[in-house]
Amino acid sequence: MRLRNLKKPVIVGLGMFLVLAALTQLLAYFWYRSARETEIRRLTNQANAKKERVIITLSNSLSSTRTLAFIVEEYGVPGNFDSIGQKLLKTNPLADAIELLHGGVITHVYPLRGNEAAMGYNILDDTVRHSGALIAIRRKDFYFAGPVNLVQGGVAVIGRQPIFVDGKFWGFAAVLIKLSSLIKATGIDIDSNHDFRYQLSRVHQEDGREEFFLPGGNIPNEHDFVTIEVPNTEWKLYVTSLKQNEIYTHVWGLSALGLLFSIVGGIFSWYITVQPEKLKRLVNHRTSQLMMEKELSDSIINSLPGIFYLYDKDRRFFRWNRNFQIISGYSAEEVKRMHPLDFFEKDEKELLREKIDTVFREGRADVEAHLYTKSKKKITYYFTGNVAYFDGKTYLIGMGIDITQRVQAEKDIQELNAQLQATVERLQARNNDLQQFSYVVSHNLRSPIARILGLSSIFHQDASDHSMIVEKITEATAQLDEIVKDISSIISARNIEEKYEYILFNDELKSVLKLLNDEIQKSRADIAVDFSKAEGVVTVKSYLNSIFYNLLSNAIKYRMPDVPLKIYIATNLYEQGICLTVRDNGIGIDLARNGEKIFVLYKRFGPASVPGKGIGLCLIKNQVESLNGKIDVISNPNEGSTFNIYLPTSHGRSTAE
Amino acid sequence: MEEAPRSSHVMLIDDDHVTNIVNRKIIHFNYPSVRISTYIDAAIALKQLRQWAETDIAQLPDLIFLDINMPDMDGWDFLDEFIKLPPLVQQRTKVIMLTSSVDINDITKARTYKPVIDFLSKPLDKGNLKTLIKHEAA
Repeated sequence: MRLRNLKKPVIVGLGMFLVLAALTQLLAYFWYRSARETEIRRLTNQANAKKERVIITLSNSLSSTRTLAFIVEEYGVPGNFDSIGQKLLKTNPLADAIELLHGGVITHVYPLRGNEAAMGYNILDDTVRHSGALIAIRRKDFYFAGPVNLVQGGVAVIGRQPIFVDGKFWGFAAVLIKLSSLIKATGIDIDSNHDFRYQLSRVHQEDGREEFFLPGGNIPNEHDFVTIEVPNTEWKLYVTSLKQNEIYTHVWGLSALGLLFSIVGGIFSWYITVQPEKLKRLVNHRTSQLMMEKELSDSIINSLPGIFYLYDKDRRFFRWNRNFQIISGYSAEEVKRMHPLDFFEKDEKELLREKIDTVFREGRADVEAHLYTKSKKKITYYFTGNVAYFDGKTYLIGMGIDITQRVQAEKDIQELNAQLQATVERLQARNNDLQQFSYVVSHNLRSPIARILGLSSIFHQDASDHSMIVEKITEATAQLDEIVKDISSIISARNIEEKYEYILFNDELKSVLKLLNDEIQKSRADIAVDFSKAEGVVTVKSYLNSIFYNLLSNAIKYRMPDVPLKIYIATNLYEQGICLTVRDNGIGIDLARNGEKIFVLYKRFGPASVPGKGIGLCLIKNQVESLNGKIDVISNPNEGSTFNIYLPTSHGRSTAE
Repeated sequence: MEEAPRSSHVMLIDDDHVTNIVNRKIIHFNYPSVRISTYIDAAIALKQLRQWAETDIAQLPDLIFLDINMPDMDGWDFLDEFIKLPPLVQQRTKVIMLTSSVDINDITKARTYKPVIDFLSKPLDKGNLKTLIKHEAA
């Protein structure tokens, strides 16, 4: 493929070169031929012109010889040959001499001087020179012979007019023109423009030998030339061009230029052809790169753990990953036609619309929402959106990550935290209980023991007062017993703390009132009850019993000495459950002074005369707290006390345990 | 029977009557010359101290055995008030906490009061009493 791609431009280039070379060479050839034809025509014209010139030049001689021949034929040999000759020469300035021959013998010559040697010479005897004379006799007309080497010296042409007297050959009237004069007169020596070169030859009748008269010898064969025969002579006039070389130069130049042009053309064609190939290869390369990038981006977006989406400002989807289809349940065709809000339920559409607007307005946004699938499943997702620009258009590009597990985990953690918190609180409460318990054990239990130890140590040192000591030891022992009973009751109360049951407030109150019957009778307490708001509660029976018992016995114990005791017991609802209120009109507590100590174990605020261990309120507080509840008190000295016990009804323990 | 240093005065503050009787007897057995005053109400004891500080410094006790758990004013309340008495009182009178149970938190708390020199568990006995009185005398 690649090789072929590379070969093609070379072939095209080479082809173009060959075609151009052929054309240009053909053109050069045609030009050459046309130039040669033109040249030959020119030569022919020139030759004809020169021939005319020669003919005209020679025609003077013709008239001279004819005149002399006429005279001889009509009047016989003239006596005044010299004067005739002189006149004839005057009319024919080119001629060098006029001769009269009788038979073949030169009888008269004008001018004689310089030509003496010719006198009496018989030309017909001269085999070398007689050919022209013989032709003239045969033709019975004027005929130029020569050029010949004259007997008297020099080279000349001789025009001879045969003279017939009574139909019989008599002799010749001849004109002698020096070759040099002839050449000069006809202008065939050297062309003034150096355009042409001439040659004059004589073809010997006898042997066909050709003799050249002009310098330069034969016309070179390779040159174009034109030959023309001069009438009434044995001569051939050659005309050849001096520009012959120019034509060659031109034609070679043209050819070379053509070749150069062909080479350039070939290269140019190759280059032109190679460009699209290069471009094609570049395009292919880029295309494959783009394909690779597309594949890469496809594989990236498909490998994303979440869903990927890209849509434009008109909310038309352009790209999305496989996960998007798998999770949403919609096919690619469906997604193409869908609006981003189609993937959400009604109640979340407005939120999503806002977020999408935010992305296009501010560049980015994210949201937690539920992807609503084709199968009407809702999956908690975290969606991101970023604005992106491609090809001058605005898009939203983003991802969604399934956070169901995270949300669930968060919920679990929150639940666990709440449980942990509850456990911590419970443990703290238990720790408090334990601390109190240990305090009870260490203090109250040890207190009578210390007393017994002290008493017995006195007894050892001084037994005199033994009856008092034994009495006190007995007392302390009884106290010890009571405390041990208390502790065991607390321990047993703790052991049943898990047992929650539904208890009617009224039932529990009744049993406590029965227990406190004597004190109530004694104090003549007026007890008002209103359980209409909440009649019962799920709780630990013994705790509720302890709450009623301790609050009521406190109310009786710390009543005003001279005011009739009134106790009001009621239930009310609050946000988390039921509030139990016990209000009295007793002596009250100075909360400003003792607020934080009121629920502390063995703290007593009433008069020392009133019996009590200082354990009741502390016990209630711990019991209420172990029910996940709360206790508070509103009180002022001499204004009575109001205890509110808040019992949450949605506490975890009743259901969890 | 050992010689009590000077004419010492010991104050016992405890809401438990029996404890006071026992402690008084134990101290008396060991140091018959020591003057012992007992109070079942810390507030009254404080009132008495304040009065002595103002009128007759010589009456001030050398040692106070102080219970912690008492109704109304407990040992801590007493100490809070005691340290407000004139510096002379605190120079002369030292306090020993005497409780039925020894709680580490109580010991730590007691150390924050300068006049408190020791923390003992009931009942008082001859051994620790001896060490204490000697210590006090020194």
